Amino acid sequence: MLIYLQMIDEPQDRHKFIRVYEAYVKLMFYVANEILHNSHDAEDAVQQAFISIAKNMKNISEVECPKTKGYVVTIVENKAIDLLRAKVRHRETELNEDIIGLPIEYTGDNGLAACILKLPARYREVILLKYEQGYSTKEIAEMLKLTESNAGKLLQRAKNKLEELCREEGIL
Amino acid sequence: MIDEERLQIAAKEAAEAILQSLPSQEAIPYTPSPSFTKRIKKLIFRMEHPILYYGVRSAACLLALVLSSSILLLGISPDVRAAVLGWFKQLKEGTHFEYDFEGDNAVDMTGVRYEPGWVPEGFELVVQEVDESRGTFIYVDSKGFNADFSYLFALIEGDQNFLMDGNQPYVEYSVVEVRGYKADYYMSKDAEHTSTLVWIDENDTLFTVTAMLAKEELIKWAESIIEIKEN
Repeated sequence: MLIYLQMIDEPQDRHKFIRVYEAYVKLMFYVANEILHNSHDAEDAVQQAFISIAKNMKNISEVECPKTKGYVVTIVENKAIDLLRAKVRHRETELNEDIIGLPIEYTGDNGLAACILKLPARYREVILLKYEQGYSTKEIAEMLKLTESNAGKLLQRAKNKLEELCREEGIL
Repeated sequence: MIDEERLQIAAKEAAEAILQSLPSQEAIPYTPSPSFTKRIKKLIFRMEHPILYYGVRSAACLLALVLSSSILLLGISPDVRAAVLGWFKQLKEGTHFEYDFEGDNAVDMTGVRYEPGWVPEGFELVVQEVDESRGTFIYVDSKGFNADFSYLFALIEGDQNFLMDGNQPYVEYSVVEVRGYKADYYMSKDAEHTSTLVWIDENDTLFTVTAMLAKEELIKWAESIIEIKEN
């Protein structure tokens, strides 16, 4: 908790971080609250997301652009789901791997995109980080606090699930 | 097997759909809670202080004997701590020192504040935050390096404490004299970290100055601090 703060060594990264905060804090809260339905928990998730963002400032080149917006939304959704899963575990309820995350309505005609949006949030996030944001497995592991090996396994499971969905939808 | 290029195109389309499904930032009626704002301010403050930052009191104290330098700073066990009045410091997590105030002998500092009477050459003030319990002055030079001066009044209640990332291989510790008081001097041995002076005056106010400066210049800055009493 203490060490991550020292990872932002460059003054420009610190300024960029503040700009990211100002540009997206409300949106990030909205995303977290959609999942957690509790403003206190949502703020905890947003804080965790900002910690992850602070550790990975190199991933943000431009603050106000769709790529960065997508990135912060993905990270905060991930942190909100982490928190939700922790609470589920705490209640000793069966761990739910299939938390859906943000409700998204898609009206486009790309069947594969529609299937990505139907994926459980954990899988959708990793697919988007890899194929939309273009991050390496190592970078994804750092963002999601996983080992590189586990990030690779998560990505593979996500792709397997996506293929399964595509077959069900008759896309493959 | 899904083709990678096709996956990239679909992922972009899915990401756009997600963003389009979200309201604009301006349309979200959210005001960060005071506690959240405080946490984020601390996060930002700490980012601006690679070595030096404030922290909240940890319930689970990892207590260890530490450098016992000035009269008021003691590295002590929890039992002894309870009997001690004044500031003490302890090693936390093996990497940093936490300065805490314990006791009911805090001096009323209402209407008192402190400011540097001199600032190292080339630094400009960018942040000045002063309230009834503390003051922080942050300066930046043309290369973007920070220098800061801060003070903390001793409070009987509350989480008034100071964290100093001082138990690191790149830090050399010694005791120097500042304004007639013994001061902890954490000298950075490399060019990437700042050096810090920490001292406590007769009113139990804890002062710090931090910068990438030579010892003499850091002490000169510390010696320049002036007390301002408001009517």
